[in-house]
Amino acid sequence: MATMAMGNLGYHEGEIKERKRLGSLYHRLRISLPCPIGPIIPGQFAMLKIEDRGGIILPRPFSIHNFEGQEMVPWLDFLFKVVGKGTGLLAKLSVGSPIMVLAPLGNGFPDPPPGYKALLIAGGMGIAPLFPLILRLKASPSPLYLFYGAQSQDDLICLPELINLEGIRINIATEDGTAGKKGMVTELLREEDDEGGDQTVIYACGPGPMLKAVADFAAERRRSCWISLEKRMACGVGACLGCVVETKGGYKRVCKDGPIFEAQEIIWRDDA
Amino acid sequence: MPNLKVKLGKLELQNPVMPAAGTFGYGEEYASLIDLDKLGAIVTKGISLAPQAGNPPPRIWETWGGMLNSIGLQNVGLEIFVKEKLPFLCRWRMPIIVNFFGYSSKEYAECAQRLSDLEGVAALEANLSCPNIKKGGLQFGSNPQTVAKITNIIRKSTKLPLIVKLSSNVSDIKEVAMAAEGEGVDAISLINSIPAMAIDLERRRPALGGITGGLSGPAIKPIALKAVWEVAPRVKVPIIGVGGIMDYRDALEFLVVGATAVQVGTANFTNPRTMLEIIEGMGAFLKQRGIEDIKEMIGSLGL
Ligand SMILES: Cc1cc2nc3c(=O)[nH]c(=O)nc-3n(C[C@H](O)[C@H](O)[C@H](O)COP(=O)(O)OP(=O)(O)OC[C@H]3O[C@@H](n4cnc5c(N)ncnc54)[C@H](O)[C@@H]3O)c2cc1C
Ligand SMILES: Cc1cc2nc3c(=O)[nH]c(=O)nc-3n(C[C@H](O)[C@H](O)[C@H](O)COP(=O)(O)O)c2cc1C
Ligand code: FES
Repeated sequence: MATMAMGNLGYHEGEIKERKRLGSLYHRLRISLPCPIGPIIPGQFAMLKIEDRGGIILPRPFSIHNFEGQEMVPWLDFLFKVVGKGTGLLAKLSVGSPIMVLAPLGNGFPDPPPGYKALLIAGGMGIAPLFPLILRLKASPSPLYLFYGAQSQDDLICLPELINLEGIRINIATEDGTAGKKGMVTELLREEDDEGGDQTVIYACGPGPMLKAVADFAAERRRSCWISLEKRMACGVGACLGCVVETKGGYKRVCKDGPIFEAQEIIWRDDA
Repeated sequence: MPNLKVKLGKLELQNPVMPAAGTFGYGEEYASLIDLDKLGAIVTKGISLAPQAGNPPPRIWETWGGMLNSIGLQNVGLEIFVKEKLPFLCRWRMPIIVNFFGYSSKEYAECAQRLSDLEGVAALEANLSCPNIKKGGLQFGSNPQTVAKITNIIRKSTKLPLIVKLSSNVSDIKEVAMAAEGEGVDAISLINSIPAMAIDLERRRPALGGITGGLSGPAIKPIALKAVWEVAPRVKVPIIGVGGIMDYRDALEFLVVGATAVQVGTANFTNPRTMLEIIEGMGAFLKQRGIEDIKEMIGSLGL
């Protein structure tokens, strides 16, 4: 018969504080919150409610890309690519515009055990949730390796920020060879990662085929591996069962049981 | 404050607003977002005797002013519902309406009977209209004869208030609704999502893993309104209006054409506070116009 305690989870009316265009397709938005939220773990995401224009009714999920502090977070950064109507509208919002934010949602990346090497693999936009993980792990003594792949040099959107960070080794691959090694980031990984052995934890985010290749790699070398998955979402809170992914334990909700999963749990399908 | 209380047969609600089945999980998913006790009732995700895996992904797709889903009635099954979901819901004051379905009339009956034995369940809503399963579902709600038959069997299996949920995807919804009333239901929910389809042009494949799905959201409101308007004068039992309700004005429109209560589905995804805003909005609307009782709105359509 109780009125349950309600946390600070709920749609917050945020405000666009900063927007930056990165290349022709990418954007970074900083949204300030009316009251601080937290704790936030790298890998968690937010639902952004885009003003109901152009027939849009569902909010859109985006990884939390950067934030300050951990328990009392006053703003959130998002990195996105314009791919359709919703992201197109997001890209047009001007500084000062209000925007509704439901966050933090889902689980985050677990830290590596002490002394373990952290191997991060980002494909294109996949850098979005790995970026705050890098900032977090940078503070720990674990060796940090980033494999960052994209189609072309212009798609390595976070490289300028990452290149100056100390204590992280970065390997680049581009499909067209305009930066780093020509080819897939997963091929690069096979060539470069020869030490570390069992004491390595892999973290990855990127397109489906890349994640599958990473999962295979991890299984082959018996490394523990955490991946961030994407599915179309409606509620973002586990209620609609719209965002499920097939796992060895049956369908799981990407929004609530993920978006971070252990790679070996996933049953990979071509189209799902 | 105007009186917002309404009755669905024996079931009394503090206000006419509740979630639509399948859009609010088992309540716990939204409990940290809104105060469930403010709702008129809660309606659970549709459950069946055995757990169901549901359809392969992708399961949702946005369309103009609406969305398609092909969840395929994934649910935890009766046993886990009783053990793990119901106790949480029982901690709240609002009445619990359990939405359920079966793959045969026997399963509908057994599910209804077992739900009736449980402490805390206030009413049952039989889904006779899911567009997302191959066997059963919509098939049971397709014509007056099959609806009468299945309703009769369910009615005999429960003493709880019984609601049937129907589809607008039939040749004559009035006949179907009257058939259900003839078998002693306490209320009728109108409408379920509408069978529909979307194409992923890049891949030239169906956008949904289940190929077809159910359309919901603002795009279907006019269809739902018409269904309620057609059925309301033909039955004596109360009607629960469902379909595309996004705000209090939408909700009141359903009351005007004859609904006694409303369910809110897709709008919960857009804004989890929608139902609370509807309740507040209804109160303010009535107050502003000097209407003391929401019942005055019900079926008040002028022609
Ligand atoms: C947990 C999670 C985190 C995400 N983080 C980011 C992020 O940090 N940055 C970012 O740019 N994107 C991210 N996405 C993807 C993002 O949600 C979609 O790009 C966005 O919803 C597209 O909306 P739209 O209206 O522009 O596209 P729509 O008009 O809806 O669709 C256009 C095209 O976008 C693609 N698309 C649509 N929905 C998704 C989706 N859920 N996932 C992948 N592709 C999709 C499809 O190719 C589709 O054909 C994330 C998705 C999830 C589930
Ligand atoms: C994701 C989703 C799942 C649904 N699951 C069920 C269900 O289990 N049982 C049921 O009777 N209706 C189900 N429905 C239908 C809704 O209860 C409702 O009838 C329909 O969505 C129309 O209302 P709306 O436009 O307000 O969403 C579901 C709808 C959606 C969008
Ligand atoms: S988006 Fe609704 S369950 Fe994940």
